Amino acid sequence: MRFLFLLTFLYTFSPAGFAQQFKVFGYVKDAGNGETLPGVSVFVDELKQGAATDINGYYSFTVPEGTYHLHVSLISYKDTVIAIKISKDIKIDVSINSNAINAKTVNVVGLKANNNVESAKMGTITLEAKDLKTIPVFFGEQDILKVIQLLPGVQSAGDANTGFYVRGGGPDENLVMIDGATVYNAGHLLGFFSIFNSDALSSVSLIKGDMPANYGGRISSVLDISAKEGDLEQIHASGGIGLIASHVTIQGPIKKDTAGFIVSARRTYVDLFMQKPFIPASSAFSGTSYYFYDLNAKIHYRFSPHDQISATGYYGQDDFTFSDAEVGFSTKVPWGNAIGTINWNHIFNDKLLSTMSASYTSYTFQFSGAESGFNFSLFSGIHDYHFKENIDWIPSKKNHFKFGAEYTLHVFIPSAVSAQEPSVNFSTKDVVHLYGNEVGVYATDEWNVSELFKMEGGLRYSIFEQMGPFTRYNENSAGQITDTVTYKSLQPIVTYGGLEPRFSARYTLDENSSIKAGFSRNYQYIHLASISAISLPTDIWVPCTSLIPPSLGDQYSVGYYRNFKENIYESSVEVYYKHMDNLLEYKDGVTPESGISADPDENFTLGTGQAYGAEFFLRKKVGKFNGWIGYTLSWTTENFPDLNNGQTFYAKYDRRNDISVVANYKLSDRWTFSSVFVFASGNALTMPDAWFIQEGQLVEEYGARNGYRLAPYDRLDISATYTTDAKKRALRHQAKWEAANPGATYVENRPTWEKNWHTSWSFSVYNVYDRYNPYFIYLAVTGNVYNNTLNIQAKQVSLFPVLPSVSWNFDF
Amino acid sequence: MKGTLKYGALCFILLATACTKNITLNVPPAANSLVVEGHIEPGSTAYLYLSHNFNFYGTVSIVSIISNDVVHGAFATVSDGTTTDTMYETNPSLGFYQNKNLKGVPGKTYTLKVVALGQTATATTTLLAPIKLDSLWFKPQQNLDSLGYIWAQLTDPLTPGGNNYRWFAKRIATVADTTFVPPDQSVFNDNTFRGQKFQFFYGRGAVPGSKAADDTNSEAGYFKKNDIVIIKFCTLDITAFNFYSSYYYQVDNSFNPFASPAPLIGNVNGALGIWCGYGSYLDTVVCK
Repeated sequence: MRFLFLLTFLYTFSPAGFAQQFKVFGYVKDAGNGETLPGVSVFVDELKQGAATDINGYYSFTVPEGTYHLHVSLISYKDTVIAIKISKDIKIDVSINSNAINAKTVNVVGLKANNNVESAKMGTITLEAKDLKTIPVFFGEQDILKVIQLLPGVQSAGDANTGFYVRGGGPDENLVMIDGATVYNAGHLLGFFSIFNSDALSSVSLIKGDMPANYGGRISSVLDISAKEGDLEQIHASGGIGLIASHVTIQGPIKKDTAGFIVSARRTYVDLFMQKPFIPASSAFSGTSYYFYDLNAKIHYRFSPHDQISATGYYGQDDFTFSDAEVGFSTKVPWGNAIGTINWNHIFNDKLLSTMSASYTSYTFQFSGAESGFNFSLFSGIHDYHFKENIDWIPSKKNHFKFGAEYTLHVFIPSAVSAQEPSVNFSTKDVVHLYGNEVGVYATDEWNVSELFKMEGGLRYSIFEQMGPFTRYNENSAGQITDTVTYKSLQPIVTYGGLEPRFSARYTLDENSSIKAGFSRNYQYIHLASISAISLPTDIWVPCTSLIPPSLGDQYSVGYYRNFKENIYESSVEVYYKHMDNLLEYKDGVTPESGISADPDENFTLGTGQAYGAEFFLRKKVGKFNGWIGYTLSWTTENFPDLNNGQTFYAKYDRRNDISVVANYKLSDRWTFSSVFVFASGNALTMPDAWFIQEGQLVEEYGARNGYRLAPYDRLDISATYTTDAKKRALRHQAKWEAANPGATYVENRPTWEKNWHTSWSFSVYNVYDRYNPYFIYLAVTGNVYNNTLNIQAKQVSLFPVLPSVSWNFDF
Repeated sequence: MKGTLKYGALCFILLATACTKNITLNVPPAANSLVVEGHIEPGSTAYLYLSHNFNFYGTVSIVSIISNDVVHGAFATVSDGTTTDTMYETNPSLGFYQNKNLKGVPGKTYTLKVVALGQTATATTTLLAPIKLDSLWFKPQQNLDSLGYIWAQLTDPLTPGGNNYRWFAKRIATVADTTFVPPDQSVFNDNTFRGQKFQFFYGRGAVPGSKAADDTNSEAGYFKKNDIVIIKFCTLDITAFNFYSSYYYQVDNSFNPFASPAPLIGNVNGALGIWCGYGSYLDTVVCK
């Protein structure tokens, strides 16, 4: 209530200006391809006032009558300054050109050169996909999620893994979205590659700190990914050939300046390598194969100056098959995501903007096996139907309101089992579907209270309801059913909800430094249940039920921000504390088969967690030499009454020290060099500490939960990118033409695609000094206890030694 | 049940590039704990094996287990609530105990009490009613005309909370086994076929450490034509079922680094292990 009172007080007594104000508004586009650009700083030099473009590239602010210079800037683009005379409301659309020098550097994009100091937001970083091209890559595949892991406060889930942990939160506590649609499994091949083909992406924003109220449903972070829009001016194509996959993208106008499309596809060829020569047709393992592919597509259409519709689609699948003819066993394991979303942006006037979206997303996993005529199939999945309406209202230069509502229908299939035997048919029990309604309403305001003080406050109210059809079997401790409750279709079973206040504020100390503080409360109504020591596609999503209440996360953070040398260097220190309630873990003794046979929510136990730490960040943003250093010092602990004898234990992703160094050097227009160095404390894990005998077999007794530490992780990667010289090629063409046409004036007659043709070679070395980083530990047993020779030897498996790779890319 | 998820197969590609090295783990040793393994069946006295846990890392031998880790001289009783019978050590060197008079009756609840190593352990189990199999038959495997599995048909009765089952087999000809042997994954429940007819099969289990020729050559895991086999088909309660599910998960995943730790959650207060009532039904199948 104090928070509400403070908001009311501040708004009520806000000083108001009396001079007549006129609106300046419009879009900012990329001059090269006509795409609108989010996050561009548009401000009036003389007044030091302005705004940033929103996700649609739209900006709006008010200024008094006068003559000014409108300054438009975005890192990676040339600054553009336009003289303007304001005597009435005016719409100014601006096209800006990519900056040839900076475009190939890696940038953490800021809204303004000193945005990190000026903004009230904490822990929010945006990366542009086109700026990732020089980062060293794993097996030649650019991956935006792996770059996200190099930021302070973000921890990698493991070697070459796209999973990530933010400020002590689990991987399911990150809301990953593409164009507003939730992504439930962002990894291919056990997480080695993300599902995001960087050719199809525009930008990625990570909010690890104080989540604005327009986001909800997760307690740790938001990863908001924008898919690229098709070029409205001309057809382009790009692609690349790597060691394990190739990709191609085509984009262009459907109707010039009005509608555009982009289609992107990627496929691995691991299966081709596996078939020959490793698994010949004569082998018992013939038929064993793995591959993944993904397709991205987006169309957008501006059907009026005030309306734009875009539709984004994603479909990706992993497919693993294993066959052993000798034992008559075969299995097929497909899993993947299907996502579709439609967004409609409508501008009522320069102060009021609407974004309406509808999306569908699904993630499914299937395992089918056959042995000795016995066929077995397991299926799990989640399907979401999501609708959202967001209103941006910018009544004055001091306030930017957002308010809206969203609804999601969740359909979960935690595990469905079927089985067949040729001679006899038998039934399996009905497939359990769990249905949930999730609703969120919110209002938020970004408020410039004064030149020194800025705040962003918001409230979100969310509700989750599990509904029928559903049958609950209440059992006693002996496993006997004491009561059966049947819920009809749409009948409410249990409802949870709560208010989620979000608040952050900035106080400017001087032109180059500021302090910020924030608080956020988040509810999470769905959970990812992982029975394995690592994230596998077998992990299942489960909703809140009468046995599983929502997780709750409260985060407090404070930061100091300072820039140096005219914003060429920026630095920050953020300190955070996070408390989490109702975290979910499997009970001790639960096995994968338990998940199949029991009501899925009966296998879990609930606990609390806390995370705290400090994040240090220093980066050089521009210039031939640029990059950043991030360091995180953190602690994450959990307490579950039913686990570890009720004693508090470190989370498996507790990471005391985490360092990332990224450095880029642009030697010339043709050569760019990059390197990445990472160091991280070892993960915590549970190891056995004693044997005991049951039925003549040795079985393990486990020590303290997560009581053992893997060795620390460190790795250096380097890369070099060579870009062909388009000017030289043009000169060669001219010389050839002039030789063929002596005395004539040269006429450039190459087709457009040939004029625009660019190629590049990327050479990367992953793990340069061949460090054997721990991926997992296993216990090798040699001999036999009955021969008196049984011996246990712990072995550490390191996944990737030094790995050179090369890829070739083109675009025109 | 043969449909167990095969994580190992999924990791096939992954391991192809992996590098491995020996490391030393500095894990503190566990506290000394009594380990109970006991059961009771209809018409039979209770059986008990007592040991204690021992160091995980290093060399482990059956000689050292028998010499150092078996518990002798324990005071143990079994009770049905009205009668209490003291157990005695049947073989002074091996740690096996048995009572003399009290025998299992389906429907009754039995309490075990053990005092040893300065620790006291108690456990309770209910002996459930046996459930008969409809039929049993031998079926040779494809391409193996004399080797195969034993199939069974079960009509699963509707029981509140469902039924949990365990399967043992003992050959009496042409080879004579000394004891009933459970095959791998010998426990299952009826959650996927509750109240219905169900057909399933099991291969032949082996006594741990067996060096018998047919447990080490290509006949391992199979029954053979002309074998005469007694099947012991048992009902057991949910705690025992969960214990043995975890047991098989652990035994089958000993080398699987991706598997989560699966501690065996037994029903013995003050000790590790299980005290299990088996509602056993016996039938014989001739392999032909």
